[in-house]
Amino acid sequence: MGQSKPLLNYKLLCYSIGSLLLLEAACMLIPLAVAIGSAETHVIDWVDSIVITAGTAALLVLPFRKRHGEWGKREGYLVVASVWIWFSVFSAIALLICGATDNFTDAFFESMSGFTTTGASIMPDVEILPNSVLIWRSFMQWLGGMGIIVLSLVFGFGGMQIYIAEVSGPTKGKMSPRVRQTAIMLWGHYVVATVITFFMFAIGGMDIFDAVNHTFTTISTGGFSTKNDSLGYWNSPFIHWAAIGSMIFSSINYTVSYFFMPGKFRHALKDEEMRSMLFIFASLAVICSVANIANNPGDSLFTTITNSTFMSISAITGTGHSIDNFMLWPAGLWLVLLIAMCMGGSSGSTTGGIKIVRITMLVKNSYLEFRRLLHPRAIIPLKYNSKVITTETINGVMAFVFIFIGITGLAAIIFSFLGLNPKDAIGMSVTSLANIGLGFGSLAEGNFYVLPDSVKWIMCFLMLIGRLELFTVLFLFTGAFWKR
Amino acid sequence: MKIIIAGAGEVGTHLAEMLTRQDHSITVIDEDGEHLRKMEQDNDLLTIEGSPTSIKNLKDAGVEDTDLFIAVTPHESQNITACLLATNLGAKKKVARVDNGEYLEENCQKFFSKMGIDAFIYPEKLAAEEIMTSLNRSWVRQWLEFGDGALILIGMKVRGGAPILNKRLQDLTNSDHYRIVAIRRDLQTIVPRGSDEVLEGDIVYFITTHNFVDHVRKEAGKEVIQVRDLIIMGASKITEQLCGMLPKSMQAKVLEKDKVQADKLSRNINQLVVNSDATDPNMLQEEDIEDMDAFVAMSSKTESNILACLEAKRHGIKKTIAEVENMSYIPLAEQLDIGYIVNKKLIAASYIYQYTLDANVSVNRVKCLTHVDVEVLELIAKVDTKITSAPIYQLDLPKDIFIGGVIKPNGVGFIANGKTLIEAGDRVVVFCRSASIKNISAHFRQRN
Repeated sequence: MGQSKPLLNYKLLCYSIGSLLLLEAACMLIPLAVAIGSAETHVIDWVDSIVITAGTAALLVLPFRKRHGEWGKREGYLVVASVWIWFSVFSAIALLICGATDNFTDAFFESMSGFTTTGASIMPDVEILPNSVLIWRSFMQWLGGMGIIVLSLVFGFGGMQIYIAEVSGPTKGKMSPRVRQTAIMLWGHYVVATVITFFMFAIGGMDIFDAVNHTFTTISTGGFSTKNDSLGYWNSPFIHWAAIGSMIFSSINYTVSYFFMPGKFRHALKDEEMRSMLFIFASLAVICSVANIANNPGDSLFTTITNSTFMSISAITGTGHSIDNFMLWPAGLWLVLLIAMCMGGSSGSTTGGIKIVRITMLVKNSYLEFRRLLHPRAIIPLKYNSKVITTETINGVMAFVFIFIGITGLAAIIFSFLGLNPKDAIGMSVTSLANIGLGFGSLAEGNFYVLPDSVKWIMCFLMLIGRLELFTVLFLFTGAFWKR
Repeated sequence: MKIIIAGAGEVGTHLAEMLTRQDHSITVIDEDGEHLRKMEQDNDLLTIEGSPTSIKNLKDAGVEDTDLFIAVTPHESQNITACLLATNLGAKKKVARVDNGEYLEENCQKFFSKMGIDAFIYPEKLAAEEIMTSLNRSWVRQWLEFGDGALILIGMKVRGGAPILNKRLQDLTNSDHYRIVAIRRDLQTIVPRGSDEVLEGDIVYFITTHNFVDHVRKEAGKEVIQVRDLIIMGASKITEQLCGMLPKSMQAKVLEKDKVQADKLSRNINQLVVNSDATDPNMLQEEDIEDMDAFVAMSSKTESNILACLEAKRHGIKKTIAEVENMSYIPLAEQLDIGYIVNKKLIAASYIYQYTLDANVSVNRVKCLTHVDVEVLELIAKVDTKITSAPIYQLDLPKDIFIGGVIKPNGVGFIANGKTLIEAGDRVVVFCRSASIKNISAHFRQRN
């Protein structure tokens, strides 16, 4: 019927972005509390940041509080994609006010890297940063790990439309009929995992502040640290293995690990993605350990195994914590780790990358292709978790992998033209798209501050599309999105 | 409330969409994965692809702590099997859709409730009953009785010349004889206040008592037409049910263009079945359309039903009834002035509604009105509930909920006003917008 409804419901967009920013302003109370607790001079800076964020939020929310209309698919995608940018902008403003950096590009990069749980940092020396800034960096990662949108669903904001845009992927992610109930279960589970990790770190000998920070950045597979040497600062195998455990746990689909409880445990263990993931993780750790032991036969066996396992898990889960410089490892392992970085963990986890489910589906499908050659008339469906996967799903997976590889290549080429050497360029492209945070080549020390601004902005974009599994953001750049 | 719907056909899909909007947790089980994916995209519910009679699927759907299990697949035996499985797996209330009137008989009910099936729905029979009511009182659009006729709800289209036109409701005399509870105007539902007026072409819902039905009819300017001869188009299941209900005073001709269908129906009913196409004007002429009092279009095609009714109106038939299964056509059909619209989904859904209400609230029945976005509930006021605590005007009821009338335990009904005090044991007729149906429970729930 010839109504001239605008393509996008701007009232709803303003209202929802505003409400989400209120959530961010509320989160900033945590660094404020830390600033007060450690008697910093930054108390007033955080008050300013909260006022700015909450003020903007109020300006967006109040005019549209009563009438803001219905959610559509377009609004869902737009809000989910842009909320990360909005959050990063206001977090960047806070970092600038606190004087953590004096350049907006750096502040935005740091924030985007935080929220997307990438963990790449432009801070030349994190140890001189005030505690309030440190806790904010860690908290951004914790928030971004399970997702801002999923948290907003807990508070009854939005619904199905934003859930679809946020949780893409080839497998189903709902545990309860209601989106809100699912979001509550997921966040509850995430909080429990966080508390357990905290106790492990505290038992391992970290002080409370460092333990909280590293818990936030490990359980979210983020990778920020309060120390320049990252987790390598602590020479404690207990902490390193606790971190390994926590990283692996967070790479399991949260809707699967939720059922790690008596009675349902055996059923949860049957999840095919988790099994293939653990298999891949174990093989990777073994490969790295064996190669390193062969390379440095003189070193302590246990230390080598710990370092190899830690670094390979940190790379594949996209955490980016570091206890060793893997650029000193045999060159063959660089490539192994680079490919591992692209893989990521399970779908529905806090990790980035292509995700194991897509890789195993494609591997299985390729194998079935040979059987189809042998029996041209046979009907050989692809099964995953003993369910038949439709051709449409496989097409979607193939498109995803193609776009992922395509963007990685394209970004690497652009980075090379912007002056990076090709090895660094490929490393930067993968580390940002797969939300890893580890450097590569000459950037392996995590010294991202040397990068030109243009590269930083492109990396911010890559981190964003990587976090939202490509399609949600790239959809906004298609003509179809802006046409009726 | 946790609800499982087995079968995502027309009724199942409509129910699921409606119930999700009311904040229930819905899980749908069906074998059509494509359709389920679409449902899941548009609604906040969970779907499970597979057979609803598979124990594994039922367990995956969480049947053990389900409050209501609704089996509405197209197959009767599958529905019953699914309900039996659900009973044994722990579901609390079970409702199955059937297409066999036998099961609805009273002695069968006992037998089935012993097996764990609380109720059956037979949408075709419910639809036929509604049509029958409409034929009996051809001047109404909808007729509902509460408390064995103590209170009556009448929906009518008000045309030019009616005494109540263009008067403010507060100026109408005899306000204790009837009350206007809802008005449908230009696709919008109005819950009227004293300052509103009835305009020509409105569909108006009155609540009244038995004695004043004729008074209300005259106020709305309606004449009584006795239906004697009618044409039914299409040999559907509703047709079969309807023909079985027709009294001796009514003669029906069933027109069905499919020979096999016509043949099959003629064996089961006593009315005349003609193998011809009712959408063809010549055929209508042949069957003496001008002499008919009513035209009932029940074919499986919504479009044909609407068009055939228009054609019948052109031939001067006053009462037209059409089955409109395509929901988006209902407003269109109303604008085209088709007398009575039947929609199996709405009928089935409103029947199932009553099971979704709080268990502490005793409900006699729930009904959604065809033309307006309003539900009517007949509830029993129990001792120590909010509703009995004060006269209505002090109750602070939400704006879109109001009390239409009260039926005393002795069977006498009267129209409620602000000063009415509801007492324990009264049956209360409540009107509310569909979205706020769940808010009612709070007023009727007993304070432990």
